[in-house]
Amino acid sequence: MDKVRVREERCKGCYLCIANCKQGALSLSGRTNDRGVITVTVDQDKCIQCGCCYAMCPDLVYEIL
Amino acid sequence: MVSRKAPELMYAENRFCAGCGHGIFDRILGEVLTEMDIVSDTIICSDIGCNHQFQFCMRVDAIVPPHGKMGAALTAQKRVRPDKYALTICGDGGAYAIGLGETMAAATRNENVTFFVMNNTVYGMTGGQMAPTSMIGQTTSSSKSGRSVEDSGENFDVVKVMGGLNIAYLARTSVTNPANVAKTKKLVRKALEKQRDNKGFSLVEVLVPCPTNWGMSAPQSMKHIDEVVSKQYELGEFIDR
Repeated sequence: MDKVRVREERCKGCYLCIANCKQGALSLSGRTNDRGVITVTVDQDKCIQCGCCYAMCPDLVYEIL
Repeated sequence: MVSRKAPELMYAENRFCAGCGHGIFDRILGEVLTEMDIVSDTIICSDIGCNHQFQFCMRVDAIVPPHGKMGAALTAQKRVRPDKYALTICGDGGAYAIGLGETMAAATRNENVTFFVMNNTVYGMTGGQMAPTSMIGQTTSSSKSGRSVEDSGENFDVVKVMGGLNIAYLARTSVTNPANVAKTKKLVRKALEKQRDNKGFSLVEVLVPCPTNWGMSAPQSMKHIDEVVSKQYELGEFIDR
């Protein structure tokens, strides 16, 4: 089961989430959204649902499920 | 495990630049309003500036006074509708430069209103010009060789200015990491509780990054706040009555 939902279409590419993920579970996905931004993907196995990505994202990309 | 999802009142994507601290603060405020169950009892007084864009992503009542006049508008709003929470999200330009008179007058009268001031040390919306809060030596688009005390005076520190006033609450915080975000949420709630308990004027200054005008990446600008800005603008709770 997924631990985090990533709403890639909202991402603006500041990558505060990657900088603040202590587990190293976030990385660039290689996909580009409609804004032309390379989005972020979650390694669901490494994720511990700490919520740091949710706390730091200005654009509400993340939802901790 | 508590699930964390966007508060319901955040109905649309915001229009801020990438990495802007306003987006983080707006979500924090949305969470606090939802948790206190006062979304329908709140009227946010919006200033002109980047902060104004909360109206396009938050479903909450708002009024927009002339630029910087939040102190006067909030006073009127609170006196006419004392049953509603009167608060403003504003920038350092609106609260400390253009609207300093109104802000200080409201604080001097200890009006029962709440200010949330986003301090990014520049005039963000107009292109990153030097603001009263710009630090000594800070390079901005209108102070290319850095702010000098001889030309522009010392920077404005709200704690020094309001520290002696008889107000209910004065605090400064930042949103540079998850711990500070959690702390900011606590202080925002505390400020609104002061208003609920009719204690008087409360002001929370939030140090936010402006990656676009600082010419830094978002993670770099957060580091800059931790290492440079928060050394000049000390974090903490300064008045709590």
